[in-house]
Amino acid sequence: MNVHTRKVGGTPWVTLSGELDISTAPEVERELTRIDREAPSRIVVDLRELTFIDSTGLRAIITADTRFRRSGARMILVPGPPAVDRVFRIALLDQRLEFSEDPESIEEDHVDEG
Amino acid sequence: MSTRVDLRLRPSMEAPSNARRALDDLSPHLPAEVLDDMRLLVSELVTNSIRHAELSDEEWVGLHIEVAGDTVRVEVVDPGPGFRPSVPTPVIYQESGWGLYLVEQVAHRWGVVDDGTIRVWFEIDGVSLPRSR
Repeated sequence: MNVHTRKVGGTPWVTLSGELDISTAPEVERELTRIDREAPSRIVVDLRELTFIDSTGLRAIITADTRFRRSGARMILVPGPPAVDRVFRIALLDQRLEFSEDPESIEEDHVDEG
Repeated sequence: MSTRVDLRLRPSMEAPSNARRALDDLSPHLPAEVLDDMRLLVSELVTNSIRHAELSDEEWVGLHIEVAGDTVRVEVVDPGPGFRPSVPTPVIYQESGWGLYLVEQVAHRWGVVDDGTIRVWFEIDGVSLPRSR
């Protein structure tokens, strides 16, 4: 599991690579908690390089989303490969979380608004 | 055709990923989508075992897989003391314990046998590989 954060137009963009389960969820939780303390208005979590996720991994994502919402931030997920995306759909999380294939376009809108 | 995997896993945080890795041996025998579903459910059950069974370092979680005909049966065994699954509810309605909700959604059948050890099992049908092209 690799957790890599960069800034895209001022927005934290977290790329998760590898497998997200009980052994790697704490690392993801730590990083998302750290970013929450920076009080961004939005954050992108990119799942495209994720090869596996289970309910422990889902819980890390939901917990972070709940915390960001409480802080007034918007967490946008870039969908993972089919095997990963399927787990979100089975868990009905596609209804609760915000997904975008192209969050940069959202970001550009945001920047345009000033 | 019958294919088996039998494995003992040390109860560490790496046990779920070790269990998933063991499924790679079945890749010549099962469709990729079935293996993906099995990786998910095996991960859920082994995670439950290491979370709830309070295992010492000397104990282990057993993983038994048998492909027979069109069905694969997977059993995850731990010595207890008592992971007692309740009726799963969807993830969005509760904060924890929803690994079994995924098992309920993905498996064709699942259940728990408490015979001194706790054996949680599931079966997936339709696992015969399509004829080679």
